[in-house]
Amino acid sequence: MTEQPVEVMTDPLPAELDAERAESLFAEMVRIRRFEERCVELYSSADIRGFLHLYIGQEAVATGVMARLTPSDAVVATYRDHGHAIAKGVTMRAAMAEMFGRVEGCSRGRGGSMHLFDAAARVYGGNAIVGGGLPVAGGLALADRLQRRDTVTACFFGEGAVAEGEFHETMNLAALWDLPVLFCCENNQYAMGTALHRSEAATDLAVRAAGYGMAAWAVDGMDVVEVDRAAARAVEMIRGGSGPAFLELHTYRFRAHSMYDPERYRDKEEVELWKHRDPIESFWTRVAAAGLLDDADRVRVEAEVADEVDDAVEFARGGTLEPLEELTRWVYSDGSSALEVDR
Amino acid sequence: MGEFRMPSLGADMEEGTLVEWAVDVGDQVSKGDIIASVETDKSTIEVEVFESGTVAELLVEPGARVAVGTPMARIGDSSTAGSVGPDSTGRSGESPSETPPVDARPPEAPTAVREEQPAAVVGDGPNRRHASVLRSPLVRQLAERLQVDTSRIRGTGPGGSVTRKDVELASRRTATPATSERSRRVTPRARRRAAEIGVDLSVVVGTGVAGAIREQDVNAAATPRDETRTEAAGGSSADRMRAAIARTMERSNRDIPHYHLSLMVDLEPLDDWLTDRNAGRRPQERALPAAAILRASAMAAASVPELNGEWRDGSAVTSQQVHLGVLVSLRSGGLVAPVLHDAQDRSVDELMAALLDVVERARRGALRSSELAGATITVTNLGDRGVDEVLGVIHPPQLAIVGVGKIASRPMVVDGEVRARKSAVITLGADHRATDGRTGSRFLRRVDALLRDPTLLEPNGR
Repeated sequence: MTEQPVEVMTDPLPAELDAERAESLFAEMVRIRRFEERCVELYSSADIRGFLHLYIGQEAVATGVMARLTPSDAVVATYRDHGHAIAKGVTMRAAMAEMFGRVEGCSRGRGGSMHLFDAAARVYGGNAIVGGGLPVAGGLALADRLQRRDTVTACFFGEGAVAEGEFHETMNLAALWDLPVLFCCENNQYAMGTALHRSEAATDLAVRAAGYGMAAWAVDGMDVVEVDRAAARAVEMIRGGSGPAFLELHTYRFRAHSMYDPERYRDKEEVELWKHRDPIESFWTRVAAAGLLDDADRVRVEAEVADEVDDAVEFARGGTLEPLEELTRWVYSDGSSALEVDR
Repeated sequence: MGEFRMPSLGADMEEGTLVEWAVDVGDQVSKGDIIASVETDKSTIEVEVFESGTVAELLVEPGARVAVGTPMARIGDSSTAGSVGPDSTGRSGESPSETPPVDARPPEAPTAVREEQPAAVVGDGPNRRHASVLRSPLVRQLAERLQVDTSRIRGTGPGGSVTRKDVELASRRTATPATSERSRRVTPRARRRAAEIGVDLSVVVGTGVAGAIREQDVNAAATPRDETRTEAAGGSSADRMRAAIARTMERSNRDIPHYHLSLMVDLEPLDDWLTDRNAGRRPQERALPAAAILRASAMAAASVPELNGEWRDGSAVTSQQVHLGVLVSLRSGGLVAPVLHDAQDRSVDELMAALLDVVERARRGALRSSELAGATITVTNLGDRGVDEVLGVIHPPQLAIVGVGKIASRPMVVDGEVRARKSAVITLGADHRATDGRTGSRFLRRVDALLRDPTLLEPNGR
């Protein structure tokens, strides 16, 4: 059996969640959602090519974790990386232009959807390889530790990555060397089309992570408040020098694995059931009931986000395609400094 | 006026085939609704519409293959397309002074009340009723299925439209214990399967919880396209059957890399054996070689199960049971393939009786739909049409087809001498994705061994 969503959230909102913070969390999730909804259209109309993996349904995870990171903290993400990039500060313009393959994109249009990189925002990319980001995160954290920087690297990966050797190697080394990594396992239950229980004997991933000698616990990844709370605790521990921590974030993607798949591996009823726990709507219900935000706030946020998405699309459409003569640039060394990038 | 265009469902997709529309002209759709199923080279996928409004025109017929970006439907703006009028159920029926629809929509089309006319519809008084804007056919169907009166729901969707979630929540609030007979619950798998194999869900009897239609019900109801109920659906039955065969064969040839093997089988021993057995029997009780060959094919399929089953989602799903499809050509032209279920457990005489029965009824058009579904392997016998060898085309999603050629006296070398022997060329066409020739040759050799020693065909002979 795949996991069923927990039906009701009854926990009261934390006292420190004021209107401003509530709006900030809400708006971030809405930004990611609306950005991706537009991407669906643009992909269908063939404006966006290549692959496109949507984060819709999982927004609470990136939003809640990023809420507890500082600008100097680093993020390593998966090929489902739009939410992480946007929440970490990559502008919608740069992200959308990247989708369009334009030079103005955050990866100069060379990466596309799966490879949103932005050194300024300390986003070290999506990664097309399942589990491929884990060693990268370990390396970033090792550098930070050796240079005695007080930064945390948040590494996002899916539960499918748990089957990869890189996962185990990175987990072990991170714990062995007390690296400041926050491992964020987004357990959306399906590695492409393979349900976790079909590939793993032990499906309690937090327990398995604890076996590497690090603090690990499971979190309701559909509840941005819970994610925020867990990330706060984990980041505080890591900054305090206690080594890595691991969050297993139970979540669910509402859409197909990639832009379209026939979804024969799960029933629509299951998807609909999880949609009752839509992270945006359920959070909205709670903050509205608590009187923190009202309909006018929502209308305003939606309008602002719509404008931002429109602006990003317009920006991307107006962007330039990389000229053919640059085809081999940065593929082989041209003798100049490898670090010199004209951005 | 917006358009729904053939979407790009993958970077390598250049065109797609419309499998079916999920909407009709006049339906309200909203952004995100499923509007159609589209088949790509990889799979059939339900696709969504990005406009909200009224379906003004469907520009593409199911079955048509069109390039990405081709306009497939026109979506009218609700406020101008004239889809204004009382709900067809009369629930919100006070909407009076509207001018009738201006465009050429069938009279029954208006199914939603446009909320932009609130004064006419609901008024502002304390007894205000919400004009439920049912933009989505799916929501409307859901409401019908869950027996939810949408006029009592306050919509939370855009413009106050009733969303799926609203209906579900309302349904849970007023949860009725039993599902009404009218409701047609269909599992997603069943819906998908029905779309795949072209079964009309309205004729399927559900056996699931609360009468839900499950995948197996669809399979049971599957007729190989429309062969058996053609008159009712109108159109020339022969044309429709031809079109159905065309689709199936096109799909087979497109999707299935066939390999063919053949073996000349000495049928002299079978002929002797049948002659002995049939001696003293009344003509209608006599077994023909065809029955013995069916028996041998079923036994061989059971012992080489790699060829017995279906190709599904990129891999072979083999079956323990041998459900033998038997191709019967109709005098009016065309083919049907009745299925002899559990053929592995049927004796030669039982298969003979079953064969006579289905052939006779096939030619009368009296086959039950359940008899046309679920074959795991098919036998085609064109020997009685006088040809030596049949290189069959697999009926998707099956894995193999057995061809039986003419039984005739041919020169064969037996014990070092050329003799005239009764013989037939038996062929196997198989899906190279699922098996290789080695497996196929095992099958043919097994058939050969069984027919050379027909006592093995009897239940105790194994």
